[in-house]
Amino acid sequence: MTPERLEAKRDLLISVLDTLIPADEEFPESGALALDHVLAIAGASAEAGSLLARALEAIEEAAAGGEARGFAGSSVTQREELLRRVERSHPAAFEALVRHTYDGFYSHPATIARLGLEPGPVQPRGHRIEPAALPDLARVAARGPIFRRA
Amino acid sequence: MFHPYAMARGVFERPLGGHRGPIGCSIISQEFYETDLSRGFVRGYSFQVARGLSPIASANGGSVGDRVPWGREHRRAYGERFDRTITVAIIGEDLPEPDNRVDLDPALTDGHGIPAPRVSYRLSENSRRMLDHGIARAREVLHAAGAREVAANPLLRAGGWHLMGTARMGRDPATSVVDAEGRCHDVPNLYIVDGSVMVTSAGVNPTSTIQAVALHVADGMIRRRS
Repeated sequence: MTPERLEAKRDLLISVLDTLIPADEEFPESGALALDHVLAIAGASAEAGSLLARALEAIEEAAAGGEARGFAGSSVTQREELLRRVERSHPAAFEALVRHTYDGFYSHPATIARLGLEPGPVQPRGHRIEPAALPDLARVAARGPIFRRA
Repeated sequence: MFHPYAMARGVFERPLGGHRGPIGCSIISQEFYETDLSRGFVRGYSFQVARGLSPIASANGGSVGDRVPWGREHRRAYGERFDRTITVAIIGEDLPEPDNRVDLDPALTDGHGIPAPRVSYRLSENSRRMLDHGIARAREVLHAAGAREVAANPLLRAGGWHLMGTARMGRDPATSVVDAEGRCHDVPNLYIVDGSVMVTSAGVNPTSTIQAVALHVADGMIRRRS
């Protein structure tokens, strides 16, 4: 399966990503946020594209061997069980799938904003650090140098 | 020699804001830098306290590599980690070992048939004990600071590759390659000015030391020309 085939399996890929990082009250599923990154990585790197395609192929095969509803039509529990089987049978490909999904999800500006951070370059804006009292270093200073004299 | 690196990371109950600020070393401690034979090894290490993990590194586990689980547990597990970590790195002082060296690869060559360099490195028993000591102290520090869990990576494969040694500096041609001003004992007018002249790796990043040695060697060159 080539990266182009990966693109052709977009619906399956979205279902897989949504299972890896499901939505909660504050965050959407990863299919909406990580998909573009995963596809971009598959297109930019032949090695990554091959691993991702292999992972999706294994998921598709495993789903075809199960109930007729396929991956997207299965329950969350069934989808997670299927993915755990693929994680065991294709560890390198599945590891790449999870890593690139996490990279895509947690670098997306929408995720960054929901985490309470400001998307985009830090500089020249910088960080706002609240002033804090310095620890009492008198005891350390009183001990004097502990390093070896040259 | 290189810099064997180990890392311990504590997870705390409350947000720390540690993902803000520079990525480098925020606090350094050389409490265990000098030799104390009661610890079971010679020389020592620096502690480097780094800032917290970025959003992506929090998910993928950073240098410890313990990725947040995927699936329905993901959001809860991620929320318990992001913005709640402090990392303590242990950077050890490596010693020269006969088995650790750079030689020519017997099989690998470049496009012109010239043999490629081959780097051989195995962590010595002394360095292993040093890192283990550092991990144990880092655990104590992190727990004392309130960490509810501490995970450790006993040796970072991707970190610490500051190559040093193999052309050590010294007065005696029998035990060193260059003299105190970087001149080869055996080859007239040949200078070596890089990390290879270091006698041990020291327990800190080497750039400042290499720069200082380079300036010292340059001063000697200028003095001899005049």
